[in-house]
Amino acid sequence: MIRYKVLWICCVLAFAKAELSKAQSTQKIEREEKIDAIDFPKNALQTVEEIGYSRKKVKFYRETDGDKTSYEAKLKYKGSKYSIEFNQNGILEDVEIDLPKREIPKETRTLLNRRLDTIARKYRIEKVQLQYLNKGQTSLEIQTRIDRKDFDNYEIIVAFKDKRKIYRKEILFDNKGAFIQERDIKRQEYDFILF
Amino acid sequence: MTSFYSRAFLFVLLPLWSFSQVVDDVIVQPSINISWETGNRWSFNSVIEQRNSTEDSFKALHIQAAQFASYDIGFYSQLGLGIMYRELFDDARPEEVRFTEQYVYSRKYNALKIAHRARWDQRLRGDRTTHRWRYLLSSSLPLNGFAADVSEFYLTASLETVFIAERNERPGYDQRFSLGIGRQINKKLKLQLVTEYRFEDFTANTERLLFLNIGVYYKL
Repeated sequence: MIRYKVLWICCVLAFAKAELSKAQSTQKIEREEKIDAIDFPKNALQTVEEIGYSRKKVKFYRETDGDKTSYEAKLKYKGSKYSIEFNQNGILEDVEIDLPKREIPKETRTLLNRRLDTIARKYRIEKVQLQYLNKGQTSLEIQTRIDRKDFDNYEIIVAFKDKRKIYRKEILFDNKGAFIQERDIKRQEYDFILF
Repeated sequence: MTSFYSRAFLFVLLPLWSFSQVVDDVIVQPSINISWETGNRWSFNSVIEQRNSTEDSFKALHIQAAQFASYDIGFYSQLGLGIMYRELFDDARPEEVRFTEQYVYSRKYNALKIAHRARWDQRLRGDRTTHRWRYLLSSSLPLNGFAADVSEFYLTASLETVFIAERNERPGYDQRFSLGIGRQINKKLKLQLVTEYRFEDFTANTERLLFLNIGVYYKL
């Protein structure tokens, strides 16, 4: 029975509170975590309130990448998912709103496909977001732009398949469908082992 | 900082407590898993697992080693092949070699990951060959945000049905449920504690078993 006890003690120690090991870890911290509204920058809260139509159900996140911190609020309005992003000082960077991919105008879709065709033979668009950048506007001005769908860019996530591998990219196109930039998305890891 | 996952611990311990009256045996099964992703479509997993019964006293039953290879065939699906060797600590029974073929379809819906797995096992024990057809529905959910970052926790749950057939034997069915919690200790290492409840041969001589699976997962 002693072995039993040792086992349990090991388990308890291994699963002990996350906060302890955070300070000990020396590697570059890259994480996003859910936080309470109270830990969100105050001025940003105001903006979320204004752009997010005072929705009650808002989720707040903090992202850390090395020394860089940013904040994000997520909410739903009329069936669309809003993601409102701020820098570490709580200054609005952009608003991203989900769009069903069939709602991309046909001409734009042709331009997008033309670009994607050059990357791999087979691909699938997994997510489309309309990006509204903050160009020194007030919340009200941005909200008006959202209402008129006066967005800046399409931010899309695409899965590609070629002979050697399957991978994903996040690609930015402007509102006319012209390519701006792309970046690789690191492979989605399995949180559980399937075999 | 507030914990968004504290309640999850209770969930994991729940089966332990509620089934303690109705299990025939509690089995403790530690394992070490090593995975290697080649960067192309292939990935490999190795596992060493040991099983102990706690019915009368703590008694080791067997130790096993398995090697799996998986190949991505679509955006979300995978084919896999595995071989396992099991060394029983019971000289009266033959050792086991097992071959496994499987198909996995997995997708991510925001933070929630859902996977379907269909599997065919051939268990070779002495001159016996047992076939098992298995279907597993499993899911995992990080308890903070969209991915399990370093030092964060995740939940995992699964349902599995197994159909067992062997020449000159009555076919059997097993049903398994599992619920577990895992922790990403660092970028390459995670620890997972899963409680699994099994109804073995539930259409005839039902045996109820509770498994405690403690796994260390290391990514090369």
